[in-house]
Amino acid sequence: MGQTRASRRRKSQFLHVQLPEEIIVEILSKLPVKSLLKFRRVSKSWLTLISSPGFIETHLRSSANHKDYNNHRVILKVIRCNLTVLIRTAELISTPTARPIVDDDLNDYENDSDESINMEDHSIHMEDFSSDLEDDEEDCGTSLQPGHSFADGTNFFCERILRDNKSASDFLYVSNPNGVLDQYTVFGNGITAKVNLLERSCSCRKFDLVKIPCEYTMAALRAKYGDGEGYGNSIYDYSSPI
Amino acid sequence: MVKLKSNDDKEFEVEEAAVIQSEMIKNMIEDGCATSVIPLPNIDSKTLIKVIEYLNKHINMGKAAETGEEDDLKEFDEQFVNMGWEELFDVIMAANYLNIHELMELCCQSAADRLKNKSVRAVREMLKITNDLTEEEEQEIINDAPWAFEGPEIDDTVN
Repeated sequence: MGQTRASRRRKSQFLHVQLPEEIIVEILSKLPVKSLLKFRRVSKSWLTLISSPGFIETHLRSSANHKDYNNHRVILKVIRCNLTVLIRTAELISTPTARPIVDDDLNDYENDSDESINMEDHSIHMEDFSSDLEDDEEDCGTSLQPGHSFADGTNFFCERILRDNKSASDFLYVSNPNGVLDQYTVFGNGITAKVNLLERSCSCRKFDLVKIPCEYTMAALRAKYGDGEGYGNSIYDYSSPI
Repeated sequence: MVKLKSNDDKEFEVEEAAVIQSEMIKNMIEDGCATSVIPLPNIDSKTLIKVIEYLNKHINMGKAAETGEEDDLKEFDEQFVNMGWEELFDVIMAANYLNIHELMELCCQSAADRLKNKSVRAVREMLKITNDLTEEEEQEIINDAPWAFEGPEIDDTVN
């Protein structure tokens, strides 16, 4: 009570104005995952916000720049089963340590990525989920479909673009000069492109704008993860349509 | 020099180089709308003084890196966010309104650091949020990740 009165005397705007959502988002995106999981209990609007795909992506981007929380972001995947693809693919791209060995068989990707999460994550609690997680992911395969707004035709074209980009990437030379795992320089046809897998961007801007890995990105992805069928398609799945 | 006026009718003179860190004011100046005093109806003088203090200190951010003043700036930032919870939010609101990206980042990071280990109850109180979840819904969230709700570091104090 005393505190309320003191605040009122200060005439803080904070008491009179509802905090805009953008500010809440800005603050929450700087929190570690454990706090976010906990704060889903604060109110309905926080629960909705923290579980929303848009927020998860914002948080992922923000925590990618924050060294302390890097390894925790994967836990977010338990929040919503239907976002697993998004998170998993994001972590495929952004967590170099998550995949120590590259399998040529890309159908194994899903399995390995689960294991690597458990190995890599320092949180002792992760085991609690791992069994549920697999179930969730199976559900996910089916539940994801209706959520996708692509008509079959769109998917077909996306696949074609990916295939074309992939074959175009055969003629490109990839180097990773700084030893930084997610930044690649790709040379070809007198053009040099810089690809940053972590930021999902390429200096040709195609990847940034269309969200479909361009030929340079494809070359970088192949240099990093090896080759295989369907790779491009699974990478495509996460990207949000514009 | 640019003149800023707070909502309690106090005027402050600020160097243009400092004030253009605010995207909003920068745009106003570029559009030629800042010829006389710029009224800021959302910001009280106490908050505006804080913001101006920040702007003046960060006036030459680019140069700081060259002259090795970065640590100094870091120290200033640390001191700067060392303020009361509500005061911090006044600054965040002002930074958001004036569109000062760096200040926004700094203050939101500080707010996040303060909230990080708080209990759910403390967070509701600190941000004046009423709980509209039913008990079952809350239980479901807890069951989803029980470990997030326990641990010695969870702090139930409101400050």
